[in-house]
This record gives sequence, C-alpha cells and structure tokens, in this order.
Amino acid sequence: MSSRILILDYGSQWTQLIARRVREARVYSEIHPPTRSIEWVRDWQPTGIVLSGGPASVYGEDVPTADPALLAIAPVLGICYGMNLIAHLSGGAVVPSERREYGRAALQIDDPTGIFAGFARGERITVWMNHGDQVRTLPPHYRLMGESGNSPIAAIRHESKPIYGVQFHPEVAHTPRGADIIANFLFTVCRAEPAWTTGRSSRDTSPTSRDGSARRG
Amino acid sequence: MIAGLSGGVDSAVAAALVHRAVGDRLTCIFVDTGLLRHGEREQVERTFRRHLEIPLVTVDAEARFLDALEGVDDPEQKRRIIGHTFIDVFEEAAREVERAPGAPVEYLVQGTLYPDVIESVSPRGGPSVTIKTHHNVGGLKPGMRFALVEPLRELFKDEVRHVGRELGLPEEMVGRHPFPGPGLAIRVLGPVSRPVLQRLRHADAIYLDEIREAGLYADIWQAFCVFLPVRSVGVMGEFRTYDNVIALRAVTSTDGMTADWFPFPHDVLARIATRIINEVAGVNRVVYDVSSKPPATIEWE
Repeated sequence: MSSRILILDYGSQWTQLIARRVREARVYSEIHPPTRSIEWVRDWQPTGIVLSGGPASVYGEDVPTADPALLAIAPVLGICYGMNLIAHLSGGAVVPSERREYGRAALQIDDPTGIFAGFARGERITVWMNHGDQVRTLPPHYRLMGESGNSPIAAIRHESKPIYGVQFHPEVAHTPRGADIIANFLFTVCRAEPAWTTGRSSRDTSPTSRDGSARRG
Repeated sequence: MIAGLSGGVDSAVAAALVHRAVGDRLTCIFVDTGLLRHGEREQVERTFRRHLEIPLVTVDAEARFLDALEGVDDPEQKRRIIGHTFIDVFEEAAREVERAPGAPVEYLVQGTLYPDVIESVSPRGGPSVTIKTHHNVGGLKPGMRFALVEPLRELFKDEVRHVGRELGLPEEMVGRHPFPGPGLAIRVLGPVSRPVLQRLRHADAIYLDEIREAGLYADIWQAFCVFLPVRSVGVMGEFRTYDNVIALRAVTSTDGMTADWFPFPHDVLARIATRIINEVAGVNRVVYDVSSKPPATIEWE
C-alpha cells in the first residue's frame, strides 16, 4: 500500500497548510478530528502521524487530547499544541510562557538528526512562532533538539522512538526551511514514498468527501 | 446561476471557472457597495465585458449599504450587515435575471477560499476558534434561497492565481492584491460614512499609485490604507490642525496565512506620506504598521 500521512486537527488555522506541504512532497494525507479512536487510527494504517497546532492549552479542562497509545502506532510529529500534547502525555511539564512568542524567531539547532537531518549543529534558522504555552521540563526519555530565545525547549525527540515535537510552525511559508523539516519527517523518519500526484488526487477525490473519507493529499 | 463579483481575484476566477462549465446559464452580478476602491467598478466592467465576454449586471447599491452601516462600529456587526445586504441584493438581482426566459436561478457562485473558511469555522469539525467572520462564509443569511457553489473552497490564493492564468484572465486581474468582500468598511475603523470613505479612497489611490510608480506592486502581497478614528494635533502652514490619522499597511506573504510587513525604502515612504497629508483634506498624520501575522492580522478589522 502506498504511503499515507494522518493529520489530526487540533484546531490550528494552519492545519490545511500541513496537508499542502505534505502533498507538495508528493505524499498522500488526510485531515481528521482528534476524536478518532485508537482502533480507527490503527485500521487506517498511517505511515506517519502529524498532530497540528491549536488554540487550547493542554493543561486546560475539556481540551482535545490523544490516547498515549497513538505514539506507538507510527512515527509522530507534533507541531505547537501537538508538541505540547506529546510532552504532556509523556510526563513533561507544559506551562504558560512568561514571554509569549508570536511571529519571527530564531531557532538554534542542537541536534541535527531526524527531522533536522542535513542541518548543522548550532545552525540558526528563522522560524514562525505562535504560542502562549511552552514545555518547561522534558518528559523522561526525551531529548532537546533546538531552542529559541523565548522557548528554551523549542524542539524535542524521543531518545529511541520516532517521536518528534516542534514548538514552531514548519508548515507556514514564513519558516523558510520548514518544507525541508517536513520532508525530513516524511522521508527520513517515516520512510514514505513520494508517489502521490495531482492526477491521482483528481481521480480519487470523491464529491462526498465532507465526511472525511476521501480527500486530496 | 448567478455569480457575485467583489472586484477581487477570487470571485473573478470562480466566475470564469463556472462560466467555462455552464456557459451562458451564468450571469455575473457586480454590486457597487459604495465601499470600493477608486476605479474598481470600471476595472471589473472592463475585464468581464470586454476581455472575458461574460455577461455582467452592475447593481448600484451604495445607499443601501451605507444606510445599513450607519453608526455601526463593531467589526463583526459590520461584516454581518454587509453579508446580509449582499444576499438581499443578489436575491433581487436574481429576480431580474429570471424575468428573461430560461431556468430559475438556484445557485450562487462565490469565490470563497480556504483561508476564509478557516478564519470563520473549522472546516473539518476540529476545535478551532473563530478569528473573523468572513462575509461569504459565516456572514450569510440563514434561510437564503440559493445553494452555494464554491469551487475554490479548498485552495489558497496562490493556487487560485494559477487557475486564473490557466483560464486566461488578464494579469491586471490575476495579479491584483487581495481585496476583502466587506471592502473599505473594514478599513475604516469605527463608523463608516461617505466623507470618511472619500478620504480613505483618496489616500488609498495615492498609496497604490506611488507603489506602482516605485515598481513595488508585485513584490507586495497586499497594500492598503486604514482610516483611524483618532485625531492628533498638527501644524499646516501657520495653522493648528486637529485631524485624523491614516495608517499604511503593506505585507509580504505567499498564501495569506502568515505575513510580514514590507520593508519600504524610506524615500518611497516619505513620498507617500507627504502626498497623502498634502492632498487629502482632514488628514495630518500618516503612520506605518510594522506588525507581522501572527500576532496581528493583515486587515485591521
């Protein structure tokens, strides 16, 4: 079966941009609500899972969450709220930032592996931030991958499993190397095949796709 | 079918696309809301009648929109009023279209894009919050008689421009800066009135004129003036003035989802400010907006 990426939508205004970047990398994806059951996700057989950003705080009440078992089904990339959720579910501390961070920020890459493959250790790249919460302490078995002025923990990974989190938004055009980071997740981490084309998209798009079944990648 | 044109690239591409599919069964309706920029109506009429040869009905509805907006200063209420008035005008125009022999008007074509949808509602049932109600999404009247056709609903602006070029739309239409459906109403902060619109329209024309003159129009995603309901003291000639402020906005973006302010050469900014203050009565101060999106939005309301 060809590669397919599952994007869980935690309500970010940029979720569709994640799908767009994945489809520009010629990999199929679908966007689904975070309320899908763990069995449903297993049956869907994702090559990789992306957790989007969102307006909630992971420590709030009645906020969208995930079954921790999700992190074992396929490689995971959490973006903003998605990274906070990974940290929260894995025993890290997520707190309101003392200094909020919106718009341009400089990220220093400390660990050029996985999603940062091909970058240099210590390299500083421009990223776009949009958050009021931050990860204060790393969960057990997680490592720091990058930091910014206002976010000492701006990118994380699990020490042995393919689980990554970034506080910034690699999917937006104002993160100039964001497409490289997403491509690294797709091809280095998930080992996805770049086989999806717009021709296939138009054949496979069903007019009844509002229920989330068939969707352009 | 009827298509509502706003003067922007989205509705033009949506109409041209549907016209290719259904031909003469489509009538395009352009509403002059009185909230348009300088020369906008003429440009739309030229593009559609002459270039695309698609039938176009222009409805003069300035008085209706401005009367409905009188005294309203809440941005969300402005957007709702404009959305509802648009539908009223379209329904009347549809009745006119139906007087000619042919099928009844059942569909309304709109140039809704994906960013409009996500700023209004969460399209996939996810937990998003409403940032702005877009007049062609959340601002529609409940119980209106049309079914909506929104062929661009899952595309971004740069993708729409590709489609527009494929369809043979002229570059002056395809390359235009985005212009919101509620028009100048959301670029006048506070209540909208004819004299204020006139000042804003004049300042905006100068601004865009100088940007084109400097060869920067295509480098900028969107540039416009905002009329601020704030007065400040100035001295013009030997007289004290106590007049309004115009804010200039210009941003770079590829899809409208994130944006950064445009780094104008200082001499261009200086020329724009001097001309606006000298030529637009009632304005004695010009400021430049240096906020990115996020945390600001591109438009001010």
